[in-house]
Amino acid sequence: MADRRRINGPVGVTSPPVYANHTPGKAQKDTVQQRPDNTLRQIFLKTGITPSASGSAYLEVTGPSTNGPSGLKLNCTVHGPRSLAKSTPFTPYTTLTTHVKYAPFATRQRRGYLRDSSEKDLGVHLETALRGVIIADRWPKSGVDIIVTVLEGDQPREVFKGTPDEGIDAMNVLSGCITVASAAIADAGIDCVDMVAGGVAALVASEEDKGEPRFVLDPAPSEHDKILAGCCVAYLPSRDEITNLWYKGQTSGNDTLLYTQLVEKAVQASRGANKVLVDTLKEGVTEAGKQSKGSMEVDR
Amino acid sequence: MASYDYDYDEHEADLEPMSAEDRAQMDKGLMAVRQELKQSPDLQVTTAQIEDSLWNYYFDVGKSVASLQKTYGVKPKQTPKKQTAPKAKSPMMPAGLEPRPEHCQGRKLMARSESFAHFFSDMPWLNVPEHRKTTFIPPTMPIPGGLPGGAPSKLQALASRRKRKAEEKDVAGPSRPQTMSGEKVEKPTATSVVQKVQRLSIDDRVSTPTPQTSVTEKKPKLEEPDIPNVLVEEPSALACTISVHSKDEHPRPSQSRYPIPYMDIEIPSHMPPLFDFSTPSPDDIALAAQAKVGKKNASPNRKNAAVAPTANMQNLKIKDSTPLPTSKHIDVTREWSRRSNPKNDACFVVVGHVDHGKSTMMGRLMLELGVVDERTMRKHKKEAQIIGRSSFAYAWIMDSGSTERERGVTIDISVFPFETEKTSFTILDAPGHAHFTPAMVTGATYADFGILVVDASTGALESGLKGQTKQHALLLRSMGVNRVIVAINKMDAAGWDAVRYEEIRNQIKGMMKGMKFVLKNISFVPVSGLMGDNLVTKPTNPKAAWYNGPTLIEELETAKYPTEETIRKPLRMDVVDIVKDDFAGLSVHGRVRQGYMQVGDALLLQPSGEKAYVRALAIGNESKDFVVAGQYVRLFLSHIDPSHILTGDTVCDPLDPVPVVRNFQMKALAFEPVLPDVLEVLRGRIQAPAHARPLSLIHPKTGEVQHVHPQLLKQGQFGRLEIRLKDHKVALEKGNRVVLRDGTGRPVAAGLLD
Repeated sequence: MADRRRINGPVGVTSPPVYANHTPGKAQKDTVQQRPDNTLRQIFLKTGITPSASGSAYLEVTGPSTNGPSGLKLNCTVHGPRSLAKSTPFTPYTTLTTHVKYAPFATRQRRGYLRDSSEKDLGVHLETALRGVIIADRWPKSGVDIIVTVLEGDQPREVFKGTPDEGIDAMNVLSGCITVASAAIADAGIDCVDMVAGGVAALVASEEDKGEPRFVLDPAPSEHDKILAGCCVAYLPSRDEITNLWYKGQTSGNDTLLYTQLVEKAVQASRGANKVLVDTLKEGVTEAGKQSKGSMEVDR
Repeated sequence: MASYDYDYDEHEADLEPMSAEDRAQMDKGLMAVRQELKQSPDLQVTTAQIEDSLWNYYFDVGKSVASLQKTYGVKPKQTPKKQTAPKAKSPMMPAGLEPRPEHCQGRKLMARSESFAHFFSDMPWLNVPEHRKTTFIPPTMPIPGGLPGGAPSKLQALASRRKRKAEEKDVAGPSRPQTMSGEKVEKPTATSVVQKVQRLSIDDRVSTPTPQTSVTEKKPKLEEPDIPNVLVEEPSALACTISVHSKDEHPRPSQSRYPIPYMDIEIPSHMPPLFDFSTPSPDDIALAAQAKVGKKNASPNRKNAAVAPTANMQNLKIKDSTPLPTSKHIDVTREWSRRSNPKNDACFVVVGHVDHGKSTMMGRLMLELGVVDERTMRKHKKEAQIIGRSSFAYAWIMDSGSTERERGVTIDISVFPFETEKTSFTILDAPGHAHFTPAMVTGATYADFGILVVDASTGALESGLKGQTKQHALLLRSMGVNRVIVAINKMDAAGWDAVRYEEIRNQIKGMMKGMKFVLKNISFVPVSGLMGDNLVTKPTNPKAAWYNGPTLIEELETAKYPTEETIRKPLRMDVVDIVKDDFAGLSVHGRVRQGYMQVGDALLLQPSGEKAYVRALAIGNESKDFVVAGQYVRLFLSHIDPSHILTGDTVCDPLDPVPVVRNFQMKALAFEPVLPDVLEVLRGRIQAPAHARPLSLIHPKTGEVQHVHPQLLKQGQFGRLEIRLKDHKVALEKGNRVVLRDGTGRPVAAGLLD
């Protein structure tokens, strides 16, 4: 008997597109950075995308290349707080579960249907970032599932696998995951201490600057010749707290100043994302008010 | 969600008594406020008002005092009851009820007021002043996770209680930071952010909005406190698709075409360049060309339909797109009389009792004439040997059906054309078995003459005379087949006994005389079907030396054939068989009874009344331009739906068609007693149940009516019958011969229409 509870795929065989590789000699730098270093890429955020979920959000970040619709696309659904299974032992706190999954078509290199190690790693990062935000003792004996689906990866698909900037790419995705999950949690009405938002900053070196490193907020790997270090933070602006920090790269010697500067830049990027987040939620609240008012007028 | 909390607080405040902890706090606060208010003695406030204010500001003394001074200190002389309503901060509150303390402690105040008339004194019943009108704001949606009906679930209640406790602890705590002015800095407490946002908009108890700026003020260590400028992106097409609500606000990106990805890949020089689809692709060109070819024929018809779409309903009929077959306009009668090899066309039916060797004799005849080659014959012999009936091999030339071969009997008439030097013959090999009488009648209907096959062996003749030999002879006579050749078969088995031959001859002669056959039209030929003696050549058997008469084929060629007279009659052709061939198209088989037709002629099929055209004609496998009466033809039709043709239909001239009848009268000879009863009308392929009733009894010779409305027609009597068909109409005209048979299959009567 056919499986009718799921939306089945096509009966016939489909073949994913296989793209011709770039010629090996081609320069890695595909696009030129067009925005100032201290600005973020444009973000589109929308809550309440998935009606069946308790809360949901959709985040879009423009890609580095201007000639296409490509860019980071994330969808997040939050289910819960809901009661845990009977078999689970009593917990006085909310059990938080996070899933980050790339859609099979999200990246140039096709992803599998099961989560691989990098996706699981992102999930752990996301859980760390959110655990400090949710007031877990408000909802005892209950669980919250946060599922983030990466519909389109940050890295343009022209860049094939194996570039050394994969870490930065994962950071960008993680930062997006944090922001979108935060919006979805707020949409679900789960109590939080603050709105957490993700931010990424990087220390890049380019030939135009004669190798002088500079800080860039929200870096796009394809825009830079070399990325020396990257940092991704999950930051609570009202509390001035960081719930998750991911630092990667090599900075010369034990330059702690450079390190703190990079973290601060990441925090700054996070503030920017937070602004968008708050605006979106406010907009959502007024929109809900408008809608219910509209329905009342109809009743009269 | 936020509305829930709001509601909840209201419940707590209104319904539940203050906790001991709260009470203590309240008393402490009350004392402090009274102390503060002593400095301004002109302010008259009740204890309840102070308490209310304290409750509102979470026991914050400074705020409460400021609020009380602001509210009641403006017009100090007035009692709170008479105060004019302050400007409504929130549109939620109906303007008339705005003085909040009054509302909250309504009962006490009411007790003090003299009458309600005073309360309503400035209340106009109509023409409500503008400032008193309110705008209703609907309650916000309940929490997505809540129970239906807005009731808090146990989990939510627990969560809320914990939240409250945490808040109270926070407020009561001595470490609460206070600014110089005594105003509480809103530390981001453990409330959901959305709640906070909600409260900003609707909670009227918070008189001053939370100073958000203080948050950033508290971060002196940040070197660059400026928030980076983020532009909110226009949603992409995907975002527009998945977010339903955003459709209106954000118009879809104007970019209607997207660049095909990876078109900028550098192609190595040895590979052909990528096709960019800016021009029609080779596939597109091919498909367009195919579509054009497919439409070419259909277009003229469409044009016709467009000219007068409603003028004539008939124009709306779906017509065959194939053009009408072109006619050569041959003068058929002239052409036929001047034909180069004037061969006659004859159709004969082979009848006789079952197992008397009709099919075998005809098969052998075919072999002798060379119509069937040796190879086919060998094949049949081999196959017949396998099933152990080698004598069937010749019969299998005629019987092609698998059931027929298996059972060793002919079931349906088999049509087999062959030619001699003088004549083109068509054999209609009829089944001998009593069950298949209708098929035999079909054969007899189309035959010019008949061959009655009689088994010469002892016993077989007698059984035949009682059975189908007699019946078939009678049916031949009924269907107007007057010329009969009696082939006395299996002479080899009878040892070519001249005495036996003579005996049989006399018996058959006597029988046929009784059936009122004209004896000079009847001839007798002794043959051996299996051995092939006396079919085409004289018998080789020395025992047959006594016979010096004609062979069967010589006898056949002496038969009479249709004259030019029948050709000049209007066209009639009965459909014996319908063949739907994917390759050759629709064709019908049958004998042209009278008249002629040529390719391109219009035809009418009765009784359906459908029109058709002659697409092609063939006799056997030979294509013809025209056919005339007497020929057994294959007629290829066009412009007709195959479902409109049935076997038994009559193909006729549209200008002089066969009438379609339901009730008719006929002159009939009764073989059995005819009572008013349901009988079956047989003619050709027509088989129709009908009510038959004798109308009159007629003298066979003089033709005068002897008895009107007889009870029955006795055996051998001649009379007029009235036939009323039960189900459907048939195409019959005057002079057509029909056979009536009863439910058991016996022929009851036969005659012709008048």
